[in-house]
Parts: sequence; C-alpha cells; structure tokens
Amino acid sequence: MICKGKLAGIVILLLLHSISGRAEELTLTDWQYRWLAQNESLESKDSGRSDWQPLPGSQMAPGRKGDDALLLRTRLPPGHWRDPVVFIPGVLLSLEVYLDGVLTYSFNDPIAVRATPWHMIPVLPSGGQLLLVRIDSNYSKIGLMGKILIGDRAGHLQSMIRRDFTRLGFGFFFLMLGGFTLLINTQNRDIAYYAFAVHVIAIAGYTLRYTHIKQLLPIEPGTWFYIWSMSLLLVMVTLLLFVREVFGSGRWQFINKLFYTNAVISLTGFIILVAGAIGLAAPQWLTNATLSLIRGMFVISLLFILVHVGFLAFRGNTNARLLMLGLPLAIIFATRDALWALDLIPGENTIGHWGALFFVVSLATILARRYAAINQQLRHYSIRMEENAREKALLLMDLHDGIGSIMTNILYLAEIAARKVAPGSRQPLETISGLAEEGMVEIRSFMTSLDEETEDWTTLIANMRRYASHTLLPHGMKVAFHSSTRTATHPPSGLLSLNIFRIYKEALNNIVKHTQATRVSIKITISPSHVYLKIEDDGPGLSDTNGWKHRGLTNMAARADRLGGHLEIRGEKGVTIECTLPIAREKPILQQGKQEDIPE
Amino acid sequence: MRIAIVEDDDQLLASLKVLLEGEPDIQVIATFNNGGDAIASIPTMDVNILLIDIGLPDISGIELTHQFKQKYPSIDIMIFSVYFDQETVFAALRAGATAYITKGCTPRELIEALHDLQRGGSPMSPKIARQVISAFHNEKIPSEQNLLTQREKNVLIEIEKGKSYKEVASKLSISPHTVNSHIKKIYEKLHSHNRQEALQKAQQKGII
Repeated sequence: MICKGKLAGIVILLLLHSISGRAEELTLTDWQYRWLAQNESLESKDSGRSDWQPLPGSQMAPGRKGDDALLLRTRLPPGHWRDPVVFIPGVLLSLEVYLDGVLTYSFNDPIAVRATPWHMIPVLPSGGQLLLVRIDSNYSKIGLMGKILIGDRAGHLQSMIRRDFTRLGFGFFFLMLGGFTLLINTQNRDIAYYAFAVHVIAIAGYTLRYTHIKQLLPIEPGTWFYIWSMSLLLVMVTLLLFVREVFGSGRWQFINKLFYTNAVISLTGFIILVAGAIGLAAPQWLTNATLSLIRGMFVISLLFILVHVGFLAFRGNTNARLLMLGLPLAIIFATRDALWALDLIPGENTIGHWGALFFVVSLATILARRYAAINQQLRHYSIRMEENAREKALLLMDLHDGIGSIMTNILYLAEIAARKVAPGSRQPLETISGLAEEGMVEIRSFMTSLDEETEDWTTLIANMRRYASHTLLPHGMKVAFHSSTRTATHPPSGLLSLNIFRIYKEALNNIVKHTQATRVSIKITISPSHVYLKIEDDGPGLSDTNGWKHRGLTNMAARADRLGGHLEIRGEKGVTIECTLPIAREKPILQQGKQEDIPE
Repeated sequence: MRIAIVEDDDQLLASLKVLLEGEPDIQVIATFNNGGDAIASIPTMDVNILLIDIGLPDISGIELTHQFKQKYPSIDIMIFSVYFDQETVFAALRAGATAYITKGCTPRELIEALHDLQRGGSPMSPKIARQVISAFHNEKIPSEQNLLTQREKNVLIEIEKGKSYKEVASKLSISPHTVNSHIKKIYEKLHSHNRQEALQKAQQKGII
C-alpha cells in the first residue's frame, strides 16, 4: 500500500508536470459492438445472435433486448509512445479486456465498482492490436462512462489532473464552505443556514465523486458510492428547504409540499442505502423505483422552484433575481456536460462544476444579504428596546423622586401637626405618619427590585429583619429571626426579591391585625435552588372570623404560585405559614447562616 | 447648628424648614430650590451644615456637593435623597458628602442624624450603610480607574477619537439618546462641564 505522503508527492509532481506541458492522447474511434447474454462466453461470438455493428456516436450501444453483456471492439492506431496504455473511464459493472484475443485485464470488484474507477491497460508501443472490451451488467444502463483513450501512461495522468484539478478544488471549496457555515450557524440557528450548508456539502460530494483524480486520494472506493448516494438524497431536499425559508412556500404551499414529498422519498432511499450497507439488500425493483422517483422529483421540484423564484424575481425581489442568475447557469452547464458525454456536442472537458460554483455563489450571496438584513433588524430592535428601557427607567426615577418627596412631606407635616395638638388627639396624625412610612417602604422595595445590580440576599434579609422589628415590636410581640444562606447561592432576581418581601410583609401585617400573638418566629433558608420561608405565631390560630383565611391565603398563595412556588397556611395552634420559591440561577455569592433574637 | 437646605420640592422644603426650626438648637439660615441660587448665596452666609437633595433642576446635588467641598471644605454636607442605588451613593460620598440620609426617614431620625453630623459623626440611613459595607465585602468599591462603567468608557474612547454622538451610537449599536445620557453621566462622575474637560480628567485618572 502506498503511504499517503508518497501519494501526495506523486500527485504534486504530476500536477506540476501537467501544468508545464500537454500530453498527446487519442480518442479511440471506429468501434463495433454486439450484445451477448450474461453467461454467454466470448468464444460463442461467431455463433452469437447478432453480428458486429458499427457503434454510433456514443458508447451507449442500441438494441440491448434483455442482454447483460456488451462487446466493443476496435483496432488500435499505429503508435509512437514510450509507455502506451488504453485508458478506460468507469464502467458498469464488470470489465474484461482482450488484446488480439488474449484476456489481458479483468475487473470484477463489487465494492470498488461503486466508485466507477478508471482503468489503464498497457498495450504494445507499435500499436495495431485488436482491442476487445466486454462489459457485463444487470443495470438498466450498461456501458462506458466517458470515452476510451490511448496515450502514454504519464500523459494520461497529467491530462486527468489538468482536466479535474479545478473540479477537485471546487469540490473541496464547497466542502469547506458548507462545513464552516454549519459551525457558524450554531449561534444563530437559522434553518436557511443549515439548508445552505448541507446543500453545499451535497454539491461538494457530487463534484468530488465525478472527478477521476479522486482515485489518487487515499479513500476507500466504496466510500465514494455512499458520498454520491447521500448527495443525491440531500441535494434537492435542502434546496427546497432553503427556498422555503428565504422565499416562502408560494401559492398552495407547493414548495413546502414538494419538500415533504422529497424528504419522504429521500428517507426511503436512505433506509435502502443503510440496509444495503449492513447486508440486507433491498429488492432491485425497489431500489430502481426509488432512484427513478428521486430523479423524477428532482426535475419536477426544479421546475417549480424556477417558476416560484422566477415570479418573485419578476416582481423585483433581489434575492430571487440572484437565484435566477445562479440556478439556470447551473442547469445549462450540467445539460451541456450531459450532451457532451453523449457525444452530441464537441468539447474537451466538463464544465458542470463552474455552473455549481455560480449557483453556490448566488446562494451564499442571498444568505449574506439575509444575514445583513436580520442583523440590521436586530440592531433596530435592540436600539428601540434600549430606548424604551431608558425611558422607563427615567419615568420610574421621576415617579420615585416625586412620590418619595410627597410621602416624606406627609410624614413631616403629620409630625409638625402632632406637635401642635394635645397628646390625646394625636392618633390620626400618627396613623398618617405610619401610612406614609409604609408607602416609603413599598416604594423602596419596588425600586430595589428594579436595581438588580445591588440585589443580594444579605440586603433582603436585613430589610426583612428591620421590617419585623418595625412592625411587630411596637405591638409587644417578641421576634425570633433565623436566617441561613448556603454557600454559592445565586443572588435573587428583582422579581423574586419583591415577591418574597411582599409575602413576608403581608404575613406580618396579618399577624398584627388578626392575631393576639405574643411571640413570632421567622425562619428564612436560602439554598442554591430554593428559598424557604416559615413564619409561626403563638396566637389563637386560623378561624373563619379573624379574616386570615380569606385575605392572607389568597394573596400570598397567588404570589408564590406565579413564581412557580408553593405556600401553605396551617392554623390549628397559632398560625404557621410555609412558603417555598424556586431561585433562578445567575451569579453566585458566598454567605453564612446566623440566628438572632430581635431586641425589643 | 446653622443649616442651609437645597431641595427642589417647595412644599417639602417648607415642611423641612418648619420641622427643623422647631428644634431648639437648629437654625435654618437659608433654603434654596435650585443649585445656582445656593452657589451664589451660601458663600456669604455662616453655614455649618448643608442639606442637599440630589435631583435638582439645574445642577445635580452631587455636582453641587463637589463644588462646595472644593471651595469650603469645612462645611459638612448631608445628602437627603430618595436615591439609594450604589452608583449614586458612591458618587455622592466621593464628591464630598459626609452624611447620606434617605427621604422617608422619620423626623426624629433626620434630626438625630443632623446632631450626629454636628458632633463629628457620619450618619447614614441603615440601607445606605449596608450598601457601603456590602460593597466593601464584595470588593465592588468603584476605584478611580473603574469610576466609569465599561459602556461609559467605550463611549468616552470613541469621543476621544473625535467621533460625533451619531457615529458613536452607530459604532456601539446604541441610540444617540443613550449616548447623550452616557455623556451626561460621564460629566457628572468626572465633575466636568464639557467634552475636553471630561477627556482631560479621564486621562489624568487613568480611566482611558
């Protein structure tokens, strides 16, 4: 086995040599053909059912009539070569070559044939030998895939590289383009990108598969069959997907319907392919039918795409115009290659890969324009959102400033007024002060929740402890406050912080209003995933008359529920409120637990 | 104790005056509802303590604090504001405020804070004190170099290159309004009044 490095060296040397000069090659002409049954031996040629006939222009001989073996013969021209060989392009399926009636070369490898390899058969330098080629196949098409040539061995290799190098380069370019697009697209997850990437990889597979040069690459011959099959299965499905994403599905959703039809057929083809690969060969009729369906749908889909996109191009859609530039070129170039292969038009080489390049470039341009448009849109949205957020922040600041000043003013006016009335008449003024203070607490907790930068559990717990001392101590209640925060707990979001405080505030206010408790125990535990809050009092417990059941439970439970948490109130002996709320994972902080009684 | 009050809300200003004058050892020398009047008049008065609101109509209370502290370092300045976010609190303390009390405190708390300040203390509302302490714990104290946010630094760097607001907005994918508000913040934080001054101070402080 030739090592890869040596092989690469040979390829480079041949490449350089091929660029520097042109080798002389001759296409063998004046072919005659006749058909044989598959198992019929060559010796029966004189008693055969048909006589030798001159072969018309192409190597696809007419008049097969159920036969599975094709014989082709011609006399080699007199030569002037140093190391002459007959170059036979791919054949379907097996091949035997006779020189002056002697079997000189035989090829019957069921795996290698899948890559339709070329063959080089040494001949005499003087020429003039009778060349007879036997091709056996049970395929619907039987024959040669190209033209049989004669020339020097090195000359063949040179001209093969010269012919195929551009195609090979394009193939690798498509492969890289598709691969990079797949990598880039992991960020934006646009289906059009995936469709483009896979489509271009499929075109790459096709382009590489149809180079003769691939035989010099260290890849198993059978692999090329799978590359070609996958390309065939994916190429139209991905094109339809791309068209659907970029240009919409058209009237009656026909692009979408075509996409699903092609997808189902391709999936069937894929299953047949996999089954074949693991030794469960599908019936030949099924394989043939699927292949025909794929090809038929290919043509139909192409027509519909041309109509759909052509109409949009006519209406002035720039992307559609771009596609209408690339796609028809690819079709024209591919048609030209097919006609050339059938010897219907003259020419030296295939040009289909140039058509593929124009097409891929048009698709890439469409994608780049789409990306630019999406980016522009996102920029607009982000600017608008930023503007809105800024305006809202300013409004909130203004509101905060205004209401804050009013509340403070009320508080101070109540105090000033209280100084001027008799001590016995100060109750309403004290209530006004209390309400103003409560209003300020409310505003502050709201503003704190908006400022998530400074939000942390320590501040929230400190505010809760302060609120407990402000609310419960004046009513003669003793408060035991216990808090613990586990290490690496994420800080609370503004919404969570606001809701915890509201639930807590409501619970404490209810204790003041509806119980005659003398002792209140508060416990808050912050774990990495949950906040657990437990408030217990030693009052008479829940009853229908003291108002707990209706107001407290509904409001607090609804809040907990909205945050995906749970709240429970029990009241057989005193009232116990237990609330668990989930914590969204953000930035971690480090805190330790502590317990203390709030001094009176 | 001789006090001057700068507060844009006239009603609150009046209440504060009445409330504080009710205290035997507090004398309210003057009240102002904007910064300009305070700058013009206070130098001629014998004031120990200045009670300043942050949200003033003509000049920010932080800037006013900075100006007074530069010229009259012996005057104690107490910020009296609804704002308690870390950025504002640190900007005020950096500008020279010795006390920070949030609006909504009880009259008694305010009066006690004034006495505390008079005695040489540095009173702060519990929430403000906790902000300062927790900033120390979390090492979030804005140093000279990180006085500006990353976004503000980026804006300033673009301005330094001679770009217009519109060009800066386009480069940073933000709206020109946002650029404008960043510039205002930058001026405020650097105590500067124009582009040149802001750039000069930012370079001196090693910010850009």
